Amino acid sequence: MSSTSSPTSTTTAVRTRSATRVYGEGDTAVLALDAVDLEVPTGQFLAVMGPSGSGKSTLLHCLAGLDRLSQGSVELAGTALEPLSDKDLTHLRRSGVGFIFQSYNLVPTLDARENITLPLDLAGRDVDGAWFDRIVATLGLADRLDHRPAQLSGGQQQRVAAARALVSRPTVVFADEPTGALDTASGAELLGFLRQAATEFGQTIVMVTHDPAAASYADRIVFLADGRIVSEMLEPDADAVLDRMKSLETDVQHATGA
Amino acid sequence: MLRVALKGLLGHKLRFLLTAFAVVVGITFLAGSFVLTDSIQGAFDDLFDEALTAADVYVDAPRTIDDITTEQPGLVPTVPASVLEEVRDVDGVAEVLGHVEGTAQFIDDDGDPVGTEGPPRIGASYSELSPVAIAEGRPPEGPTEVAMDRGTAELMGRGVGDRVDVLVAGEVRTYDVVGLTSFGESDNLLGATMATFDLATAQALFDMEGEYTSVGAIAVDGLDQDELRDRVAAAVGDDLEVRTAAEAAESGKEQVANALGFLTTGLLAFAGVAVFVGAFIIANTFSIVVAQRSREFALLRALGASAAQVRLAVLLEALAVGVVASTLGILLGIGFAVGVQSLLDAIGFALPSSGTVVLPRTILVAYAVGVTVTLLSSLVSARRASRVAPIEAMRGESSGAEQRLGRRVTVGAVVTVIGALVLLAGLLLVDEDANILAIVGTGAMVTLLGVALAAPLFAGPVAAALGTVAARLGFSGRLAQRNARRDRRRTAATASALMIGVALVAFVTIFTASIQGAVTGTLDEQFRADFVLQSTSFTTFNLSDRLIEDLRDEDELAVVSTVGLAPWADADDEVHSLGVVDPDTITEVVGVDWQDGQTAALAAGGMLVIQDHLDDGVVALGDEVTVRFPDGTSLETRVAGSAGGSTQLLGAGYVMGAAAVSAAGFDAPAIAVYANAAGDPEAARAAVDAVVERHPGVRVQDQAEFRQAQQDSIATVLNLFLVLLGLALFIALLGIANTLALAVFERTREIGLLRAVGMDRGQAGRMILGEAVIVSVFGALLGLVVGSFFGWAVVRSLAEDGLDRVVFPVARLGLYVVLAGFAGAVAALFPAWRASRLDVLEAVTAE
Repeated sequence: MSSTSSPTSTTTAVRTRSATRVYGEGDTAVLALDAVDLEVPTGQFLAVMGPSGSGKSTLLHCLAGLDRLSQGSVELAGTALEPLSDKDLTHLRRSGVGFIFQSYNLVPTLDARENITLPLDLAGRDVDGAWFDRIVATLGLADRLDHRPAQLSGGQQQRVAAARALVSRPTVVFADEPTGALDTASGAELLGFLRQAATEFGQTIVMVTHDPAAASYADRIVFLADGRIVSEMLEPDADAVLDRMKSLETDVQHATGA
Repeated sequence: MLRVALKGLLGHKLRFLLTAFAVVVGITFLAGSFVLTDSIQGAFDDLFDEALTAADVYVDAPRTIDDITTEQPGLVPTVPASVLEEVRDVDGVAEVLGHVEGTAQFIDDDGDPVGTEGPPRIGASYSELSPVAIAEGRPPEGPTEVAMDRGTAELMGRGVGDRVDVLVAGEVRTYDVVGLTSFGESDNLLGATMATFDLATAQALFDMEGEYTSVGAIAVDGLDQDELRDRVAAAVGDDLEVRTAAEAAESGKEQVANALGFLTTGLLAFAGVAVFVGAFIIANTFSIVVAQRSREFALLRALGASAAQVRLAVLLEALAVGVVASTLGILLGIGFAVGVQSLLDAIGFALPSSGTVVLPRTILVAYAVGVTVTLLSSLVSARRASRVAPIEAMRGESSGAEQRLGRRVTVGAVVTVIGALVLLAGLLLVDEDANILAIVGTGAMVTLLGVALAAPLFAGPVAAALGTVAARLGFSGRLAQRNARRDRRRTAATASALMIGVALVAFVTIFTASIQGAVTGTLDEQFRADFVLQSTSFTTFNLSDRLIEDLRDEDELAVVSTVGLAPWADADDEVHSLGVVDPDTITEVVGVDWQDGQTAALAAGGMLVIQDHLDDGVVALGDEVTVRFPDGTSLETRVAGSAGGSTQLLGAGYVMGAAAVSAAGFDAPAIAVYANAAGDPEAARAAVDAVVERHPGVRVQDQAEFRQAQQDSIATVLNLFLVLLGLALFIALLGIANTLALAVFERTREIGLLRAVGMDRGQAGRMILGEAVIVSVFGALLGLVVGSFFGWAVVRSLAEDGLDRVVFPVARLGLYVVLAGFAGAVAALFPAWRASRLDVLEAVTAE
């Protein structure tokens, strides 16, 4: 989680073992995650893809400690999440995890600077000025710090959210469809920055997306279907991702049609 | 649209309940006030009907002066015994009975009068005319027998065959209890105690030999009451009042109705305040809910609903809230009245049981007020809902951009000024006929409304200032401050509800503190006596001649000076109070600044007027005045001079010498005796205490005790007001709870986000509590400002009545603000708990 750690480091930021999540009970039970085994090395930019209902959001929520597994385990930087209390999980979210959501990412009553330092303020920690300046400069937010979210464009808001996710130097940044509400140019800008964060700062990132173009910024893609990892791809490009998705969809159709 | 409205309600039961509750509380108090006073009135109606059935026609001495003091022993007008014979001779009279009534107090084993302070302690002759009936034993006969009312007998643990001490005219005698009486079904009447004797005994006790307080005639069979009344009236002449039983009952009921009228008006005023505050809460809730549902309304509009239909949906929802809340309020109000009656019963103010009276008027008024207030409060919101553009259905969250407040603040400022001017005009009005209270009340209400309109202007800066303090308490405090400022109208509206209650509380506090200040000032200046003796009873406040004689016999006392009180009527039949003093000694005990020669003028039969009363213009210096007393005696006097100072220690604003009044044939009962020690104050005190020991129902106080008692009695009034205004404060706090609960609901995603990025449960809760504290302190501060203005204006307007300066009890007012903050936090406990328990995942994934 240090900015100096090498992208090729072999330490593991995220590890799941037989991660299983069931919603509901009895006849109405839905198996959202079905014994998922996943390891994300520190510094990796991972994209999780899959069709709607494939379990990709559930996986993200369980990894980030927002949701709890029914069975199996999740470890963040070697810490198992299952035994943690709500308070421990909250403290983990403050320092070990960064979030970027699709929309409604900022607190409307706080200006951009306050939104960025929010996790540190909540934890009562001091802001690392140099680190803050570097993130803000990289994201091109220096002249927007005194603005309220309502005075920022959608792209600017997501960049503020990205800065907030990075400011506490978390073990992992989780991004849930971060470009879903953005236009193409703003989306590309944000993804470029996430790529940069992984490359330059060694930031581990787990991003859920259904957009092949967005996924192509990642180091690695895992494809989810019906709660299981069905495929993986390293050093992807957009066309290859698209092809893989098509073939997966066909597989699924075959499977369900059979 | 009806279905949409109903679905809207049923879909959010909690919100519905919270909204309705603000109406329910106000209507409960409103309906409860009506039911309580109607039930009391009903009980008295039954009582009068029952008590006045023994005779067909009653002959009474007319009360030329209607005043509570005329009910005092010695002031009750009487009918000469000869009237009894005259009535007996009237054709058609089958039987005639005389009745006397006075004051008699049962004395317990400790030598103290029995009964609750307040209700009368009656002594009467027993006959078929008595309002009581023998329930057990037999009627009293002879000078040693008494019948007790059953309530008092039970209280004292006495029964037929026991002995009991009774105090009449300063003398305690022991009687045999031969009977127990009851008022119809009830053992006692509103806590009144009643000792009944035979006629001759009662006449002797009350110094009414050869006199009656009332004579009753029973008609021969078949003779109409009205006919008999006319015949009796012709026989006894114009000097006496002749009424049928029905008329007598009617006038008794009327007197009760008049007395109850004040109670009803007072209670309704507080109910009105509660409803007024409730209106703010409803308006605010509807406005928040409409804002939250704007997407729903937009969807309806997009699907083809007209603006009018959307407006109708909101109004129908309001109507449903109003109807349901009023119904609940009426039911709870009846329960409240029944509860108060049981409570009164439990503490000894038993009401005759004639049931709970719920008049159609009660139901009608409660529904009318409840529904009207709810509908009016929702009008603005309904209009806003109808203006939601269909396109907003497609948009996301509103940006929460800064609202423009310009016009609203201007209107608020204008309304405030108008309200203040009306208030001041009401206070400065000299015209006695105008309903000053109504004008001042309206002015106060308009002022409060204006301040509430303009309040958003202050919401920003005040929240910022308070937030600076809050921010020191942590990051949650900073977020709380931002939340309080994000919607200034909402913050202001929520705070305004509290402002109303606090303004009234602050006003009453300042007003009573100013009175206390004035009283203290007067006492410091004028109270020179070492001791003051007064009755312990509110209703029987005269002192017996025997007590005064005993005090005069004490060697330890140098000065014993009595102050009597009598109502008198002037040539225009206007009733005033006359203080009757001993000119030779009064200046030694009361520091009135008599001018040279005024003591002599008083001794010579002249009248002195306290300066304030001279300004009233009833009499002028040098006037020849005819003073008429309740028993019909009158005297001529001259206004010999005026004196400064207060009427408080002299009992009245018009003062005459005792000798001059007695010479006219009128005996003014003493209400206070001032005494000075001859030498050793402690010996004097011991001597006075010994005298008081022999006279139950009398209290002695030295300077310090008297001062304290005066302060305490004012404090009691303040506390009573605080309790009654507590209702309005309670509703306002409910409003804070309501607003914040809605805010937590509205900010689900935001709180989820905060929790997701590391806010712990405690911080989430403190953020909401902090906002509640900011809003309530803001409301309390607004209330203090407005209440201080009310207090200042009212006290200044009474400057001529002795309220020489406005006293602001700063510590106490400050305490109110602190308490408001605490109360706000308590009110926000539930919303804060909800915020802290929010499911993070659900919140961040919520649509």
